[in-house]
Amino acid sequence: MSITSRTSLLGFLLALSALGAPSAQATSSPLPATLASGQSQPSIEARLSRITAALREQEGQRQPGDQESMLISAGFVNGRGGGWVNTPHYGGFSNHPYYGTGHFVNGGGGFVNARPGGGFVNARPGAVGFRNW
Amino acid sequence: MSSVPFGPLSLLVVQPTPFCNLDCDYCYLPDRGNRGRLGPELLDPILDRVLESPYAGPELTLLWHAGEPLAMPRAFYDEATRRIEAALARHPDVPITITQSLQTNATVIDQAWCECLQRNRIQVGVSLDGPAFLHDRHRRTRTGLGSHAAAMRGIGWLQRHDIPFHVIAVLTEESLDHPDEIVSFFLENGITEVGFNMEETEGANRVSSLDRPGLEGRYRAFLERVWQLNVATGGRFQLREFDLICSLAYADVRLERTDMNNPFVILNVDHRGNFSTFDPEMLAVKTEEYGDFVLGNVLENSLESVVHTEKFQRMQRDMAAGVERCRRECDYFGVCGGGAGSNKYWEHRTFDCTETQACRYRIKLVTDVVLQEMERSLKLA
Repeated sequence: MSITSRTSLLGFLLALSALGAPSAQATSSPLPATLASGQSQPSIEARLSRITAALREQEGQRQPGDQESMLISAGFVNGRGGGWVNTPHYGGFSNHPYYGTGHFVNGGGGFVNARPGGGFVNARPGAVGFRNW
Repeated sequence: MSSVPFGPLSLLVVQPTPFCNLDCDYCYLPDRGNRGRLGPELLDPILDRVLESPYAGPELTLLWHAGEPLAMPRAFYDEATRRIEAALARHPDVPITITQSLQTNATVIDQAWCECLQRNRIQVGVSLDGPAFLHDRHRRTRTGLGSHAAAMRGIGWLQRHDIPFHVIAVLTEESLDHPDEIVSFFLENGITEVGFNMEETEGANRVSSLDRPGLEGRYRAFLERVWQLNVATGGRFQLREFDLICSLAYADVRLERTDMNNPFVILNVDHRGNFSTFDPEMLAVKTEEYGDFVLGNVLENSLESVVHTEKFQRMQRDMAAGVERCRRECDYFGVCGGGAGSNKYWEHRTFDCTETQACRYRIKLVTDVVLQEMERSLKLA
């Protein structure tokens, strides 16, 4: 599956998951804690953790830099943990997905004071005047 | 900002007018025939209140919403842009970026509107429910005419001007039988960034077509089919609901709150300067249990002054208690963050509660499908 700037995160993850699933299954699928304690269904948290571990393992099979460049080209995340997901200090929805702002929008720009060419920002060192979500 | 208990404020919803040229039958707004308008001069105290408050965050989206924003004259947005620049100049010590955005039915967009949106750098979201046979069942004029053709003309103008936009599509019961038609319609029309909003029991919309028993199974089947179609297109169809859960899994991040249940992350201001916080759906409604949710007026009250009022204290106490109950009781809390107050109120008449139909549709069923399909793809199932 080719990754382009118009591919969704889902598309990226599917491409990633197609790399080497048997290996991931072998090493990153411990029995979920809730199953070990006798519950019939693993918890959502346990399932998420297994998926994350499997994706990490798939990433590890890539050449160094491959996945980072793919993500950047696809515009998903600013390093792991960025993008649509809020930063840990806050922990809520980032970019107000239910009100149509934020990550749906490509391009556009804000008013930021004192950034050359970038609008009107109040002179915060390192502030970014334009965001490409 | 870490010493400030609320915020940081990142979304400022401003109602330029309650009026809408459409009369969609599922709309939550009770006052959409009201032709009142926000005077541009009222933007000055609105922005001053924000920039003077301890809640101001580094990035603020000013979303023109809660009515049809393009029912205002184009000159309003030129004036608004000038006033935003002037407000930032009045507060040179506040490190902040302000971006304008709006959500529109697109029916009046033409070349002049595209030029206005571009020169004011306003980001655009369009409300469109898919193909005409679905859209026109609900999104009609006051004389009962469908609005799909006009919305598509507006979208054509946006596309010819290379103005990026996303679409929010409301799903009603009849949508659930047509995943193929919906996805095909969007892709055939070059629309790849889509969010599904479920029809909700909220505000003026007292009954949702999704209230009937048995529909959750149909919704799950709908989502599974959309996933299959998404895979078949190589992920070209970017569905907000799938991508949010995928991003949480990929980034290994969990939610602790949402913007809709955390005070002063969102500030909502109506066309008369009255303001509220939490989700914007709570701005214009009146309820038996809480009265209205207006906390003050920008002409008279600072944002921080209202946190001492009994009204805010009760709202915040109930909201926090409800989120805490969600955290303790719900397996999906990490992908939800405790839901939205408006859904909780309209379904249970209190914020101090847990599961809603809205969260079953918006979070639980989506999560079930995404995890199931990711496990299948990763051969973890």
